[in-house]
Amino acid sequence: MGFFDRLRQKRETETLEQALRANPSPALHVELAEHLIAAGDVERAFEIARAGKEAFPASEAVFQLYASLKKRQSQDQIRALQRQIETAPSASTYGQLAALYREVHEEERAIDLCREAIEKYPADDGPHQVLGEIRLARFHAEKHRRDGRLAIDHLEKAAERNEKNYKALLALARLYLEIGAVGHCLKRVRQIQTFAPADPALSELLDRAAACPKPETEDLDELLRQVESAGKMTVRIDATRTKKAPRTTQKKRLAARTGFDPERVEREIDSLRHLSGVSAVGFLGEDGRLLAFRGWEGEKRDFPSGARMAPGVAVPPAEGAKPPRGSARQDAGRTGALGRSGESSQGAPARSGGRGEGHGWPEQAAAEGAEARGEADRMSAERAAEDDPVNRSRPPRPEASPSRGPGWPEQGEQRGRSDDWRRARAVGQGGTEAMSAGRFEEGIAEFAGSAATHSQKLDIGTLVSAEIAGPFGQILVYHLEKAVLGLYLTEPQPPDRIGGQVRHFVDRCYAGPPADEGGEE
Amino acid sequence: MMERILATLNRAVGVKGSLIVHRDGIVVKSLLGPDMDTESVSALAAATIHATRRSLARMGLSAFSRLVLTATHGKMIFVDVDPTYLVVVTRRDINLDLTLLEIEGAAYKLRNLGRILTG
Repeated sequence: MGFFDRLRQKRETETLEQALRANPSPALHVELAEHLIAAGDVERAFEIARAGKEAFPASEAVFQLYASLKKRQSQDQIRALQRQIETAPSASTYGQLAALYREVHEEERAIDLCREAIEKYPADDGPHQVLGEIRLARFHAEKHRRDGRLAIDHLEKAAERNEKNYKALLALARLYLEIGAVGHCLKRVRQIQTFAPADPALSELLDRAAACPKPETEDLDELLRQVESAGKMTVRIDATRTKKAPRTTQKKRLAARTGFDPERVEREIDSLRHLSGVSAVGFLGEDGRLLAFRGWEGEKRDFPSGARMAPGVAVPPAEGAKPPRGSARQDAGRTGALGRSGESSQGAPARSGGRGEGHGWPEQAAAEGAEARGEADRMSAERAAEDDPVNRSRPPRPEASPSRGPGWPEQGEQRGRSDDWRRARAVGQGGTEAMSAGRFEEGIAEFAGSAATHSQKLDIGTLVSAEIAGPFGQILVYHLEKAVLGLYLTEPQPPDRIGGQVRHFVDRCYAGPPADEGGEE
Repeated sequence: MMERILATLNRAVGVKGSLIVHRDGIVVKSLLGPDMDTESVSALAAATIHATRRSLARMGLSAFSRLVLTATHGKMIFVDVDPTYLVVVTRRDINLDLTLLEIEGAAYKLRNLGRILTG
């Protein structure tokens, strides 16, 4: 590197430092640290990452950078401790290595090591403390009562084995207060006071405990259950958590507060049609109801996405608009009795896609299109609608309209009914029966609900995504904040490959200001 | 033989344990880690399989051959080894592409074993 390069690099570093001082943010911490790594100043980069981690404890990006740098720095120490465990193991060596693994974000290794240590040194408090801290961090993040219970169990075991284990006792006191078990908290505070009476952390805890209303119960399992169902701690005592969160966390909070904007979902969902092999997409809200649905099986890709209505229903063209290319008869011929492009092999009609259906001329499309489609199509559409559980309770279809053929709504009715008729449309194939929006909604909602519950019970944490593969293709389910996104792909794809587009779609569907206007970072 | 297949699979990077479970929840063979209770895991695995099959049936789709649940602290992979399922619990941070090769290999061996046993 030449003189001028060094000079330029120094100036860039100074500019970033000034920006960080003026307006500290997780992104600037990461940028400056990465800049310093590129310049070869790893120690300084580590200091910046550590400062960023302290200032923004909820930032995933800062934490990842800190963890990777810490891991880099700790490699020698980790190797030395590993050698020591192989040659001359001791309880403290296990404890140190487990704590180090935890610090560099290798929780699974830390857990494995702690279990090994508990077997070899059952009287040692270190492994229980590390396990308790890991479970506590998970409980803070996800509020699952199982994590809370295990955190309490391990920390209690650590305190039992070493009555002066300050970290375990303080963590217990804080956790008890957070879940509202004031009596348990005070008991642990008194225990710490026997050997650290002047600790300022204790006076803060005592103040908070005094301000708390007396809980109805001190049953820990019941209090943990209350935290899990509320999704938040009963008492908030960690001041660091109130600091400005990174953009992703803010988005999540925004979603948690406001949910998704159905209009945005409806608008943005079409962006997913470009995913390779995608056949149907459904977006379900918090209550498991379908907010938006698209099926593209056999649909003409150049057809406007606004045409979402049952076969035979025509939309009046804008005033002065010219007829579309190709007559309705031609289209009807292509998509109707001679074999509709969007029709499944079992005769269920696909999503409306012919020009004659959605954007043709009312008279031509309604009369000629309905004739050409023939009775068989309508029958199969009716069957699909009747099979659909959503449609079962619907009143019988209106009598035949002379201009539109039997069974389809009058033009005036179509707008209000489009959602209902949309549900009746069969879109995909690959199984034993045609799939409709209603079926997709029911299937995805049921699966997402049970998978989320089971993943918690199976102790693998909160469900993030699920992939179901079979002869039919692939179904991907993304468990979002207050929503579920389901994708049906007839050509299976590695979930990672489409993850980016899905994330982009999700970001654009949050209620409130669009993600691009947030400007937190 | 089944135990050997599961033991080999458990040696793969990131695999925490595996079991073979019947659709009705009966454990055929289990090699789970010390922190996992075989009975509850197998019951929940069977419930997951049942719920997934029911959901697919609702959508008019046939049975699944593979299910991958990704959660914040781990993954669970279910592979159909007719008439049973191979269930594998892994860490969250594994490279699933590589581990899936190991899992599919074990599933293939189990299928062959099943064919031999049933004649």
